[in-house]
Amino acid sequence: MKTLTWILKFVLFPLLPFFFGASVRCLHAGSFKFDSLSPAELGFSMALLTLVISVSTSRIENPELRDALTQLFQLGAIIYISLFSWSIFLETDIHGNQTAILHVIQEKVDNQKPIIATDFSRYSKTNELILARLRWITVCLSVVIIPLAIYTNKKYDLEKL
Amino acid sequence: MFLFLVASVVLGIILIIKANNELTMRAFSIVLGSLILVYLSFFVGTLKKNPTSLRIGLVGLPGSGKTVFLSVLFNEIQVQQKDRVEFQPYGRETIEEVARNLNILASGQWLPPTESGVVFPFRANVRVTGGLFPKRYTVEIGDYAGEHTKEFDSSSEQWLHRTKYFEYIIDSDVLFLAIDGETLIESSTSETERMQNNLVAALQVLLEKKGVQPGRKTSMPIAVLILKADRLKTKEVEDFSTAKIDRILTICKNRCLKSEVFFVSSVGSVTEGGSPPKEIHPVNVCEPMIWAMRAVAS
Repeated sequence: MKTLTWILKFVLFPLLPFFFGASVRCLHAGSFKFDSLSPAELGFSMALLTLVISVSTSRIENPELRDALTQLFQLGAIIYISLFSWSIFLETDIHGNQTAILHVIQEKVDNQKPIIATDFSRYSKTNELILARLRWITVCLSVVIIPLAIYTNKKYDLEKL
Repeated sequence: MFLFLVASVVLGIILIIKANNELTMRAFSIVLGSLILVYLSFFVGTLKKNPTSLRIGLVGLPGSGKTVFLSVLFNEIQVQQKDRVEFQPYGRETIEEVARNLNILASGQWLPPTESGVVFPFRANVRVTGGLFPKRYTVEIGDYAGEHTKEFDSSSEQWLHRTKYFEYIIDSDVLFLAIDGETLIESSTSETERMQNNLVAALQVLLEKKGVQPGRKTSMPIAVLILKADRLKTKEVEDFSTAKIDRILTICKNRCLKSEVFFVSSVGSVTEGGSPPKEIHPVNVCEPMIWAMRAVAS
């Protein structure tokens, strides 16, 4: 029961922004797609999770273990914040470019002008590729970090601290 | 590790800026992937290196033989290598304290009463094998003066106060209830009842503090140690003694998933003068610890 409460408080609660975001996109799309998962939301949620757990590990009595675990979770938080920053930058850039392209097309349609290839010059395939890579990396890392965090709690009784 | 992380992050950023084809994208993924693998390997390494800490609470009235039991236990258990459980005392303080206590016993004297208010943690590294993977624990047993059991006595002013000792017992993963076997056969019924009432109260408070609901059982293993068992010469006397503490045994059976009674003699038979023998022959000293470790590891 205590472990379940701990998981709810320290794992599921920080992951709420990610779950909400993914749910809304899945409901809107009408089906689950891997692309519906936002690396920015997952990165932010995981940064919260690792930070909250690092607060718990900082109360461990054994100084060697306390320092090692706290540093590892804090390092995890830095990695996730970096992933979040990159992802949010790329998402904003992609969204901004898409909006700009749509404006240009809309203007040309309104003025009955032909749409030409250069109208899409702001579209960056590289950014989308990087974002896809970041999505995979963030998901894979989270799939490993979440069980490791639960195992750490079970092994060192973090729920007691 | 830190330099590798910084180098990988810098390289990752450069690759992102320069990224313009699939090859660069692959290089970017490899750099970031290897960075994460290094991080995870450090994580797993830390978890593997640091054993689980396990706290054992030892509760008993003054003079029940707790310090003698712990000193002999920490010596015996590493001498008699037991199946599936490997034991190694650690920390200069523990090793010195055990040696000092054994020297006092070897000189034919009993240990002086544990100083009230002083907590001495006996520590050991334990490795339990037999499962899929061996499990490692850092075990700590706090040796307190038995006088502290008045915290469990409703007539005491310290009843249920949140003292350091009380919190130590509440946070324990395993509980050893030490009962003086000599008291069971030699003391009056009222004195035995008083002892039993204190220990029953201790158990009830523990169950309440651990949030064990009525009708539920605690997963905390509880070992009832009847110390000075050499005084209980025959099986009939043993049965007679356990009948005197039937309430506590029933509570343990009904409210704990794992409980066991151990008849322990820390020094073997004592001399006619009542002092410890020159050469001690402990009986059943290691069994409670072995049982507790197996119960925790299973």
